[in-house]
Amino acid sequence: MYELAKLFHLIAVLLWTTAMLGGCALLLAAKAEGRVRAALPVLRPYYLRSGGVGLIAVWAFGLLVATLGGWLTAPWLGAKMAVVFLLSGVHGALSAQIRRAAEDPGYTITPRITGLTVALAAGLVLVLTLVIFKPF
Amino acid sequence: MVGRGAELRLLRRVGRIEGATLLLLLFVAVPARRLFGFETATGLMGPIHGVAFTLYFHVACAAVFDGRWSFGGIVRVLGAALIPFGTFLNERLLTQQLNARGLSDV
Repeated sequence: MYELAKLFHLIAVLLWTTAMLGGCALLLAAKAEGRVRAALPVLRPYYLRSGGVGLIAVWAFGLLVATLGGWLTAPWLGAKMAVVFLLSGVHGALSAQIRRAAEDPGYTITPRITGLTVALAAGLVLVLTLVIFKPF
Repeated sequence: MVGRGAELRLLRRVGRIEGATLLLLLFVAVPARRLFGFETATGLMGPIHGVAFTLYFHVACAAVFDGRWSFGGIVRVLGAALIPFGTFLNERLLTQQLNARGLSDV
């Protein structure tokens, strides 16, 4: 059961992070090159579905893995959950940007998109570091 | 289509849920555990508030990272979830934002 939960958690992580990184790339490209914006209404449903399902599955299977594996009281897991919590916020911000830019061709994509991309990359590196090394 | 007004109204609704679960956790579940040893109370309310807290943060980030909010406004909306009654106190700010953008308050 533990191994199965871990498998589904990893699949969810891949789905979620791929959607978020793809969303960042899309928004940065759309901000730099106006023609890319035409792709936003087409790609928007895929992003919102895969990102939304990925987010819920990451939390559900992640908590299941932590419970089954007896990790819930581990300090490194607390730190990891805090980072994933912040990444959930990044996902919310990205989803809203994609939705607005897809619905309104005149919408100005936030200048904070670069900062969100950096925060996402840093968060993912931090999560991987915590999971692999379990430093505390 | 999810308009700007819908996002802010959703944030207000989720804020009420988050605020209510925080109050239930702090003023009902924690005293029930400490005073009567009723551990199920925090065991139940803790995860429920955790889900509401994460949902609020997700919806809040979606609403405020649009380049139109000041840094102080963003801190206020995100920080409200950490303080008891915080999200209720922020309802006025959200209503002001709706009115400032000429969006329906309903």
